[in-house]
Amino acid sequence: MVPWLKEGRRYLRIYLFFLKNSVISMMEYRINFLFGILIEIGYLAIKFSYVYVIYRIGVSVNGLTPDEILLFVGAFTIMAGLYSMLFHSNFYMLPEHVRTGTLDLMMTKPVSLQFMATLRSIQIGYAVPNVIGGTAMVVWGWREAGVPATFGNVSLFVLYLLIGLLMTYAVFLAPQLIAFWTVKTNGINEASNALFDFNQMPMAIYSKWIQRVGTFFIPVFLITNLSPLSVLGRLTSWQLAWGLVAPVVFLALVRWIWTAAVRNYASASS
Amino acid sequence: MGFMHSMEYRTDFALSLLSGIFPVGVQLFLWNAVYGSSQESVYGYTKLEVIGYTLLAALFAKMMATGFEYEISKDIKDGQLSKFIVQPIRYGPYRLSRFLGEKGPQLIVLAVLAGIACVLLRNYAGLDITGTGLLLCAAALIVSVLLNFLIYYCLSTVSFWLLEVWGIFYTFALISLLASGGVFPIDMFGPVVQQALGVLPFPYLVFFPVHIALGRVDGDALLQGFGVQFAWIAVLIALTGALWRAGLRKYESAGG
Repeated sequence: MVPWLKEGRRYLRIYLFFLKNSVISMMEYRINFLFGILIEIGYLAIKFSYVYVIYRIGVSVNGLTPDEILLFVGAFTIMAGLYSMLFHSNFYMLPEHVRTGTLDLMMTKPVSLQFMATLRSIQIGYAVPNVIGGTAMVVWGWREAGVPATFGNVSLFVLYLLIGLLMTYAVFLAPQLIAFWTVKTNGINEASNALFDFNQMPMAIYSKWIQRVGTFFIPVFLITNLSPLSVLGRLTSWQLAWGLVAPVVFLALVRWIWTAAVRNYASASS
Repeated sequence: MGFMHSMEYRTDFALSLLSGIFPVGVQLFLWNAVYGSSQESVYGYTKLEVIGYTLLAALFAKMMATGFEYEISKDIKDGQLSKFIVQPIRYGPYRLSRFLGEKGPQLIVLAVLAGIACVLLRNYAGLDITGTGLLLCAAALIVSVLLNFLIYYCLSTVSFWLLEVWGIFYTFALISLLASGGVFPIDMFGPVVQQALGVLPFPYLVFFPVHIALGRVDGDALLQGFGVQFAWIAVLIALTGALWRAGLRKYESAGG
């Protein structure tokens, strides 16, 4: 237990260094930081247009009132911000590291290669508008939908957001790992990002089959749907259990693919 | 030359088309769910009309995608623009012909897809799409592509004053997509927003041509729409000319 804890603290310290480096480079390239915020405000406007149109129509959609839908869109917006802040630029660069061989350099570092290659860059700018805008949507929807703002509810919401974050890591890292075999992944990148946007709307609008695929096989719906469902008291016991098991399963799976991929990389370059 | 260039990167185009399918998918499911809750019509759109709108708007919005504004900004930053000052080619016509050459094949593919969508919508969904409507729509789209070129050409002059502009271009494209009706029909945002947007050029890029194709614009509104398109073209030509001249003075002083 003790060495495990010590390792954990070491990684936490390194992660804080990554954060510090990201802040430094953010100050250095201030214009990129500003443009990141500007672009995300543009995307936020598009996300907001969905909410606006739904409010104007003013009917329940498959049993969800506009206020409840706002809760889903808010969770999606927060998660989109966190995804682009913590993971996206790392995942995006990964095929590039593989292609140009800069991954060799990271391999020599005395920390886990996966940790180094997938978590190093943190883009704070992209998160700011989304996290603020998303939180505002959640708060508004929460109040209007009449959900009691108890400590339990709030922690449930946050807990499922954290689970969603773990799921995001697993689900969106996996397709990038194909780069270890094929080198070019432009198309995969676009397609997997588009999958993320399926959470733009609550999963309840999709057909039963898409809901099942999105919950069990390519579990994108677990990323943002569980938080609102849980506080609205709509989470089935199945979803509750699977929501807790799935992160473990998919993180193990992506770890397994990663190990196989790195083995393939080493043999290819030698 | 532009034509050959775009043929080289045709997989990119195919992929970007493919990724465009997903947002359309989300919207189609959304509409399906909205109308599923026993709604006859929402803001004067029947379910089939809104599906038709979503499909056509996605294709037309792709027609309005540009990219040359980044090249102009690069030309200004690198000093490549100086070539055009000494050579007997004017920069504007050069950019326009290159844009049309690059965009041509894409426009043809998108037009064919839109044509197929229209035939399907008429034959299987019973939408009132007529030959005259399609011809008028095609005419409006040709004007839209030119209008859109001018909007971005005008925008690209900010490169004379700002060194880094990519974030501005990118955000502008997002807002333009929203304001042109590429995400939702702009009349769904309510009359106030629609009227406010109506004086801007954006709704005439996507919303207007789609509505012509769906047979929802006729008579005076049609003439008025074309009128606004041409008025904006005139305004933008004048504005771009003025900005370009002012920019060149700045450019030359920086270069010399």
